[in-house]
Amino acid sequence: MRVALAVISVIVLAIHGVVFYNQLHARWQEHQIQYFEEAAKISDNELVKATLESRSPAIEQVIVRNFGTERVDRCSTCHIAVDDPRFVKADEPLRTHPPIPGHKFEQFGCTICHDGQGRAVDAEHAHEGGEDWPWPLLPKEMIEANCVQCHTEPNWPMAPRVNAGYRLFFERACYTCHTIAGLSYGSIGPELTEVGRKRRFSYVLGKIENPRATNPTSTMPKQDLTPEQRLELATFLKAQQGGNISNAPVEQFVSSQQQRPQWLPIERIVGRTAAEGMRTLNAAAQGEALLPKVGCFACHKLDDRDGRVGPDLAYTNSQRDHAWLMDHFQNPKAVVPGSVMPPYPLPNEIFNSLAQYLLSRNSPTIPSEPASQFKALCARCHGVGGHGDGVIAQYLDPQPRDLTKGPFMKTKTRERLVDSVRNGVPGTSMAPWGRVLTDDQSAMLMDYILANITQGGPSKITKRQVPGANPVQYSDESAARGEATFLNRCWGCHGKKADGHGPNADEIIPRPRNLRNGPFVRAASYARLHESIKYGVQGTAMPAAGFDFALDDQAIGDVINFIYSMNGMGGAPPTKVADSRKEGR
Amino acid sequence: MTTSTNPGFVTNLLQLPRNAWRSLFRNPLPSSDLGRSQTSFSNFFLHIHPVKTHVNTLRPTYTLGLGMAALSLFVVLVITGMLLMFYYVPSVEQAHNRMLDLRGTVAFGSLLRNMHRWSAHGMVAVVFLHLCRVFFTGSYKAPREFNWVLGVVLLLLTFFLSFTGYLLPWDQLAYWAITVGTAIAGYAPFVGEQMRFVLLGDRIVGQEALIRFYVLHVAVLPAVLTTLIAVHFWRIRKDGGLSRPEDSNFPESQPAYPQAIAAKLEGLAPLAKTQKTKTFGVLGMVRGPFSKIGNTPDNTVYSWPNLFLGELFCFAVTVLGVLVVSLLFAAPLEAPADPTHPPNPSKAPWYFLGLQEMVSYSAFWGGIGIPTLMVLGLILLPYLDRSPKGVGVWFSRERLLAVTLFILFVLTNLVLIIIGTFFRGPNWSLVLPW
Repeated sequence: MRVALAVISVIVLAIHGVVFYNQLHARWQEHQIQYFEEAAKISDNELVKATLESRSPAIEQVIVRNFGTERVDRCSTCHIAVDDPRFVKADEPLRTHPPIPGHKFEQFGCTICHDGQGRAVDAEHAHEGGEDWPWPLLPKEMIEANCVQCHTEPNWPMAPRVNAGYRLFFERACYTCHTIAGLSYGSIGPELTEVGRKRRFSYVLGKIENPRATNPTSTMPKQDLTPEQRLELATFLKAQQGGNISNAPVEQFVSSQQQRPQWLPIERIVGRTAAEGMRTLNAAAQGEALLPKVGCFACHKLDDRDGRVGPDLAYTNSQRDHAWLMDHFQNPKAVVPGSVMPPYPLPNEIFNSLAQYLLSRNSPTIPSEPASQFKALCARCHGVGGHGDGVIAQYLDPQPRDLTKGPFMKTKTRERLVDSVRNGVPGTSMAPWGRVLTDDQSAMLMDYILANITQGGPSKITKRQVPGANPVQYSDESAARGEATFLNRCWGCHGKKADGHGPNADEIIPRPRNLRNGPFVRAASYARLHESIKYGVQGTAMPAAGFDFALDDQAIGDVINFIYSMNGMGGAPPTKVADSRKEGR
Repeated sequence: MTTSTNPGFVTNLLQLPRNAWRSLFRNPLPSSDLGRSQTSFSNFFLHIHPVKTHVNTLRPTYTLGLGMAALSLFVVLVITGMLLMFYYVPSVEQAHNRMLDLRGTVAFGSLLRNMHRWSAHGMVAVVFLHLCRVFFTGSYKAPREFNWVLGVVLLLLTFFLSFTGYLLPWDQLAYWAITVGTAIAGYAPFVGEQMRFVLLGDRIVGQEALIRFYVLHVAVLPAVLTTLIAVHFWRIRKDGGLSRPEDSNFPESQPAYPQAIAAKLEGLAPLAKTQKTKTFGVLGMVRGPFSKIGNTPDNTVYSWPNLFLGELFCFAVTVLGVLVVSLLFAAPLEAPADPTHPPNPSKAPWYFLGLQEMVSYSAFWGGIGIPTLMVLGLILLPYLDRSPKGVGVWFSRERLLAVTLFILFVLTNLVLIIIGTFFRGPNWSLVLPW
């Protein structure tokens, strides 16, 4: 025991020795000693030389109280040559700081411009701050985001990236999904009013580059931005720190209380000069001028610009009419419930201009061969091979049909398939091509698809016996019975809310139908719904529920009444989609 | 009064070092049994120790030094804690910044903070292991029931001390761990919400909670803990020292308290050579024919140097362990507390993660019901298990049922804590840690 005790005591003493040594020989002390030596060497004044040689290392700090909460910046403990002009060519950390007129280090400190952890005196914590420090050292290009906290004048020339990022924020439609208090209102994405203060800039940059990196189901579109543009956007967002330090308190308060506007002033979105210039134009010309500026190209394609998230707008004049466009602008989800398009905060006049422009364009000429037609018109959603994996397919809900699935395609009548092409499928992103393609062209295109793209499947369609109309009169009791059956049998795929997000839905392709898709349900014939439930849908995971679950026609009629009740049909009171934007504009 | 000899002033001056030394250290390092006895009761800090200690007490494989390790850790905690108090400010604006200062600029700041943190976790673990040791050696049985209850109270105080200290860095880890912990306290029926309000001083964790937890952590709880530790040690003496196996006992070395009372009642003189038992109620004389020390054939040795060496050894090993761990592993300091950004998942400190895992099944039973039953079971244990068998021996076969039940209890808690720590991810879903 005594020997062991002696050994342990010696080890403890040795450890104390190491600890003391480390404390007295910290890295910052070495840097300072190096500075003293080098500065003494290049000093010609004997007094200065002597002072430097007798100086011993000490922690240097600046306590800044002028700008919000007290900051303590100890950066000059290592960066001790920061105001010594003779060290312009030295290696860091002994390099001189470029002079910033009007910004004395004793008044401003360092972190107010550079971020980082001012209280630390070792490099790792001072710069990165460890894993969790929300304000790591900014790269040089982003420092202007901190400058504009005090230099709040709009379009300040010394912050080019912040200004460019501001324009990108509108041009790329960020303003439609994200709220920045006093600037934009959007309720789809997180609020960005204080994102510069709350998130590390590397996180924001990563999110802009790949929105699905941290959230695989994010509907934020992956924008086509150059690295420089991403940096500009990130710098602008870094500048959003929730209220400028030097704003008058009254202004800050007013800006924080700002209620949600019905729409944003167009000057803010497109810039004052563009807004003024627009007023002299007619509606269609206004639309043409506005289209690239209000953020449509963040998602849509038109001519040579392509956001690769939404459909091609080139055929709009043949596919849609004015009423449809206005409805869709004012509330996209009311027209296509699964749409990721946000409701744009713009007044009806602007929507009208945009609609007029799109309707006034001439559609591009259609290629003559079905193969080329498929590539030009269908591949964007359905994919080059028709697998339903087109460029924008991941953003469409319901997702585009996999046309290669023989069991599905070959069990539907040709009339129905051609009808989908010509009239579109309401409630989905499948547009009507009936005025783009002639009837013959539609038929030939469908033949082409069935011959070359569809694979497998039965050679003939089995005739099904289904009632043409609901054998069960609509009533609340019928809908209640249908709901009971639904909650007994259907919700595992279709979800407890019947929106297609049941627990099994993630593993099924194509995804279960959203039964609350009003436009779809209202346009579907009774017979089609009845057949889908009774016999299932071949080529999908929908089972023949009529046989598997012993549902007779009456029971199926109840279920369909339940579906109708959710979509304002069949005597049930219409479900009113709250749309205050329609009223009183 | 005759004047005592007063040597002249110069002589006094020259003799000053020797006289000063002698008044400080009255007894030279002992070289005789008499001297060894005197060290134990002539020194303020040592006189809680018995003059002679049973050999079983000193066996490392008997106690594993766990009690002393717990005390050593507490001493380390108090010293490092007092030094940290010079720099820490319990204000929501300043607390985190002060932690950064401690890590960066305070001399030995990061070492002190690391030592404090790892000693704290260590103390919770060691106190629990000490409880296990006491259980497995049956040392809670009569006459040591009250000491066991005291020990359980000390365990709860240790948990509470660690919990109150957990909040003080005011970083994300601290803030949300305490939010979870106090929410669990709020699940108690009837008084839950009030209890939570008394703890936090508010409905949410904020400045009030911080100052309250600070006062509890640095003043109230250490005072209570120190007092109860003193009583805990007093009870050890009164109960006749640490437990030991029966066959190593000689009747003469049994505590004489019951006999002393009986003797007093019968009016007999307490001290006599013929008396067969040791007395602890009265300080024994150390000279003359009435001396028991060295005359009775028992398995005791002098406390000086054996017991003190053992205690010093425990302390040294503990300090070495704490130093090594503190130099190798930095205590965590996360981003400043942000009430608007809960981490997913938010986890309580590790010793409450078993509770949190249970709470994920049932708020009341997991957070209040079962823990209360566990504590109640522990406290009532020595009153429910009155069999005197198996004391002083590890895993005695005569106590198979008790030992098995306790091992199950420990393993269940361990498994729950491991699940809560490693196998729970966002939304408390089951994840694999690899």
